[in-house]
Amino acid sequence: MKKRQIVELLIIVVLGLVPLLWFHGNQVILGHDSGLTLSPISHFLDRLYPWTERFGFGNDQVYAIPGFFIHGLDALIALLGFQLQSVQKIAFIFWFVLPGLTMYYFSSKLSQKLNLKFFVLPTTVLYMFNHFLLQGWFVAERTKFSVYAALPLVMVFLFDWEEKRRSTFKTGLFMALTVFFLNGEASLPLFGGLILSVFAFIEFYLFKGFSRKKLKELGKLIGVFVLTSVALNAYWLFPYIAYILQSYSNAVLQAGGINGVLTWLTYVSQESSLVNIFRLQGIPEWYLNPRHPYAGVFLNNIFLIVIGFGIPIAAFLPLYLIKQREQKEKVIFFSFLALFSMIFIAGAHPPFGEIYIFLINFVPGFVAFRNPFYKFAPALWFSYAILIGFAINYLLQKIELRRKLLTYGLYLAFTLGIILYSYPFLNGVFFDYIKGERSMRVVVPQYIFDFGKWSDSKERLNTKVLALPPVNPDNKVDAYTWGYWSLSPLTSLLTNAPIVNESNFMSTDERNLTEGLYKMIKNNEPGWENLAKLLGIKSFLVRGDFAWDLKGSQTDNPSVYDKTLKSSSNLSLVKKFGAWEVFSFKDDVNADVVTTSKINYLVGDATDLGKIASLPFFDPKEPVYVSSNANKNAQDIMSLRNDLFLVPTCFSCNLQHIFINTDLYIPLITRGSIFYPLIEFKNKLAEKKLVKSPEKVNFYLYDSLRDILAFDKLVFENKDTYLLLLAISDYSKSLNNLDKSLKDYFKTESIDNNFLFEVSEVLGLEKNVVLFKNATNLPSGQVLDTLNKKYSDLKRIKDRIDKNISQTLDETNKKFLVNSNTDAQFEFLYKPKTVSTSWDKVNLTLDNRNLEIKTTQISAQWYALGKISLSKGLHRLIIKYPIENLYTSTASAQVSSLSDVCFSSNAIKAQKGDIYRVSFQHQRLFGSKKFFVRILPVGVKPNPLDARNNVLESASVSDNYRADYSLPEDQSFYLTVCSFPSADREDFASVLELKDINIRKIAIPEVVFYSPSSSKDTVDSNFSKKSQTEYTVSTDPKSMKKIVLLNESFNNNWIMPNAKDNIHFVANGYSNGWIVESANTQVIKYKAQDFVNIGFVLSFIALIASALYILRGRL
Amino acid sequence: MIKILKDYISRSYNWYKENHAKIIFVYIIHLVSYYLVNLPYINIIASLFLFLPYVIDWIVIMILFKPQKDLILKTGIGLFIISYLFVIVHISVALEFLGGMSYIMIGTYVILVIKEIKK
Repeated sequence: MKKRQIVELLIIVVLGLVPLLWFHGNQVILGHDSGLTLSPISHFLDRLYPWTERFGFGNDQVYAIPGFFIHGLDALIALLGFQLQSVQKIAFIFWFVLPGLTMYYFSSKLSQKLNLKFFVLPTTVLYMFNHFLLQGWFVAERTKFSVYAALPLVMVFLFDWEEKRRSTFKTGLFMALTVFFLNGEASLPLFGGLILSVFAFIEFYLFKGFSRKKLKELGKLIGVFVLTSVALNAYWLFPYIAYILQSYSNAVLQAGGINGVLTWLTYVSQESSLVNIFRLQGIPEWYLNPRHPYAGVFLNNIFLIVIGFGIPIAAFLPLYLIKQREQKEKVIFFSFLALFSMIFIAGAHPPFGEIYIFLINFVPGFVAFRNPFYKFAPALWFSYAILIGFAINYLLQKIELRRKLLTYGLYLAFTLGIILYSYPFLNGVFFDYIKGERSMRVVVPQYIFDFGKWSDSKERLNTKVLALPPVNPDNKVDAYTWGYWSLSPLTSLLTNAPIVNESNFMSTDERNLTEGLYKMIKNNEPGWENLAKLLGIKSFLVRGDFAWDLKGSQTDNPSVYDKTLKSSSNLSLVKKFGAWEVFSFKDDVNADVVTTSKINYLVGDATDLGKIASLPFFDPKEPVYVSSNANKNAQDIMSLRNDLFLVPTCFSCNLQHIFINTDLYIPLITRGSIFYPLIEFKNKLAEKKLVKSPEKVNFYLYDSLRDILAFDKLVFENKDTYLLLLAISDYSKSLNNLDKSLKDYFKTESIDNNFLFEVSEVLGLEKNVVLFKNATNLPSGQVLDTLNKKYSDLKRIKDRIDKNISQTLDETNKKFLVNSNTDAQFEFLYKPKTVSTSWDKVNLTLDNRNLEIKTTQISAQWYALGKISLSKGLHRLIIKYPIENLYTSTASAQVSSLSDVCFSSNAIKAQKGDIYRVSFQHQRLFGSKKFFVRILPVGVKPNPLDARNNVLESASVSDNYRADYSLPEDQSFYLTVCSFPSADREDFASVLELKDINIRKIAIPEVVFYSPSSSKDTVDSNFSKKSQTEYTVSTDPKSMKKIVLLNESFNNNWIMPNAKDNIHFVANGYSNGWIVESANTQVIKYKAQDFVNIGFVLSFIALIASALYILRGRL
Repeated sequence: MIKILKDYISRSYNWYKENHAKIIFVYIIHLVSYYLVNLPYINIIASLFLFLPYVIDWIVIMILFKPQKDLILKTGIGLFIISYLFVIVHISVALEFLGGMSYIMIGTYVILVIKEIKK
């Protein structure tokens, strides 16, 4: 190695120590999207398994296995005995210097070949210090850095291969090994820049001299690369492929479907104009975050703007300046790469935006590139670094002939200038991502570490803990008063113990169950302990330092939960860690694996578990099968049933419509598009696959919705009459098909009321589209007449459905459907939601029989209505529910326009999610001034300027006002009526009279039919846990059939390989249950672990083989 | 000074006299291409390439006027200096236009010189 190279490398390594400047005192980098953990070793070990318990109920985590090297590095440093801050410092230095070293390797090879004397340092430093990496460092995005560092290596291997410096086979191996070690945690979108660069190389390679031989060599290279990569990455690739196939559509749906992705794309691409990209700007965060720590300086400082424009000038000047052929060739290539990458980086921004949108719509998998700037930008920064290096080299080589000292001075000055232009690197200010409010630099209180250590102890590692208070269910932000803020629960970064936090990893049932449990604990409702035990929760963690009142992610005060836990005689405070308190049940809770021969059977859904858990005789140790977790062997489960619970469904009890997001159904391609025949063809194919009647109804239902929305879109786009008529004709066809399929559906025996309700709601939505959108926008004529005919058809179909639905239509007649799966005698149990009303007797109608039943109170909430026999099948139940007026003041009131005093009701204390109905009669007594009505949280005064949509159109004749109020959070609210301000001079008062003022909660009573078992069985627990993916369990060989329960989230990958013909089902609404023939010992394992094990062996063999091949000549 | 100005105007006018037929031709081509891309069905494909008429104009200019490639590059790079003024006064429409112009000019230069690397 030459002396100069040693000096250059030394400079790069010294610059790589910059991360040491980012830490002050005891700060560590934590939170946001960083994925940095508080316990690197245990976190790494957990990630070696495809199943994790860190999120409470257990989750598949095959997606996490490719993080082997990234998290392995942290674990390795921690293993050497370094404290967390030192671990982060060392790891950050590694990730900071790595792109520099790979770029140094690339540029030094180029400089040697092309005799570029002043090229290496500026190129390398620009690749290390730039705004793209700055933005990545704000969440310490190590996955991004790994692929970013891989880019120069892959390119240098390709250039060497092109010049025949290395064989095709060896090049393929080198490239595969690079991507193996620097794998970006297998996140495909992160490879966007690398893919573009390789694509540009291939284009150039073939363009320079196309021949069959070259094509063959290229094919060979790709083949070696792909095959070696598959073998090397087998440890994550095998299970990951299964995961991707399963989750791709879910991931798209989570992003709001293709339309959601497009909306997001347009949002993030607003500032990705070519002129910004040319200047290496347009980074979305700069413009979208008004409190970005440094963006404002670069956007507004005139001097920095000048430098910004100097960047593209410096980058493209070599095209003009450099004439030497070999150098020119490289300059042209990198200029081409820069321009080519800009098309993709700009995303949806003009002029190339439509092309990108087209790719998102029609290229499978391209939807993954929903953040184009961040994914494709490495190619631009890479090419700019090289091009600017050429420019500096050209300039300095010209000067060198005359002034050597000045040349070296300028060489260093340019290098220093590049660093200074990215000055936030020098103080770490980019970690303060919302200036003055949020930062990733936090000081973690010692008690957090103490809790983590305690939780990871052998005694606690398998104890399921519920974290309190809950996160805000809308955004699931986990935030603490000491500065941590992230969507990743802190506990998941701290310990491998199962700590339940509501997260996006949960299934819908798990989320509903957890939210239900939180609500019950908050209100100290009887039964919450039973539900917690049923979910396997043994302890409760109250986090007194939780930032519960943080703007945008408000939740409940931890003290509310603390109060409930402390009031429970079944719990005791077992440990206190600073602001964190841990409570545990005094008595036993089911272990992770239990066996029994009986199971309770619940006809209902998972949310009903909370209802039956509140029954005074409910035993949480006995497992429950929930019928909504449909299993083809439900009869076998029923044959082993213990107690039977029927929980009837009250349809539309809250009198609200279900929410249907119409944006998801607006077709992108409509009549008039060249692609429309393709859509029709695709629809016909889908139509042919329909077999069952409900499937057909569902298909034609949403087909009709899409058609009417397509028509609406055409109306909005002012398309001509011909196209509009064609669109109505399409709608007519789908309506006819729906009508026919509904007729077939009604002939079938099992009519699902819930499904019909959904059909009715969708058709109601279509009615709204026709009546309130199309009808008001269309001129009279042929289109409107045709539409009117179709509207009549729509109305007729909807009316027919509504006649067949059992749906609650008013507040007093609560309509239930009882679905009994057997003939049996049941205890009829009733839980009204109003406490002040006397419930000595209940009036109801059961299967058209009017009954008045005397009640017996069996607990604080539940009433027994006696025994009742129900035959197998559907039964209709209507319960008369009295209205309780919560308005306690005078029944009538007057409001005058001359007085500043508004009418205000008493405050009503209510909870989030509750729905209240407000009604009154209003009559104008004098004057013509307007009045407005508002329902407001207590403490908020009515603002007349914000009352335009709430004006009361009162007349001299009494009129009714009615409105429903849904609470966004726990609060007290009140009704107010005020006069509306008027610009006119008022000579006399306008007076409004209010009568029959009524404010009531729309209550949803609960009903359970309970049939106890004639015999019971004990619940045993005899098992051993080998790892988080394998258990052995002993069952009693005497009994014929046994039920085995594993207290982990249900997943088809959980198997009992030795139990032949076992029945796998969802137990307790979320966990795994099996019915097995009895045997002494059984194994429960997570199937994906086998793939991982085999994959690791394969990867290891491939790695050794690759290394041996590469080193064979040198050994 | 007046002489220089006179010379300049005279040269410009002579250039115009020699090329006015080509200028009109480019203009007509622009109108035709603009009309064509708005025709039914073609407009669906053209919607992906809103800049298509301008690209056609550019190609025609390249064929008819045969500008020097170095001049194209210098103009493309030079436009960044002009862009600076519009950043200062926050006129984004002009910036979008100049960014597009720079892109097409530098891109044209790369396309024109790319054949030089062909072996």
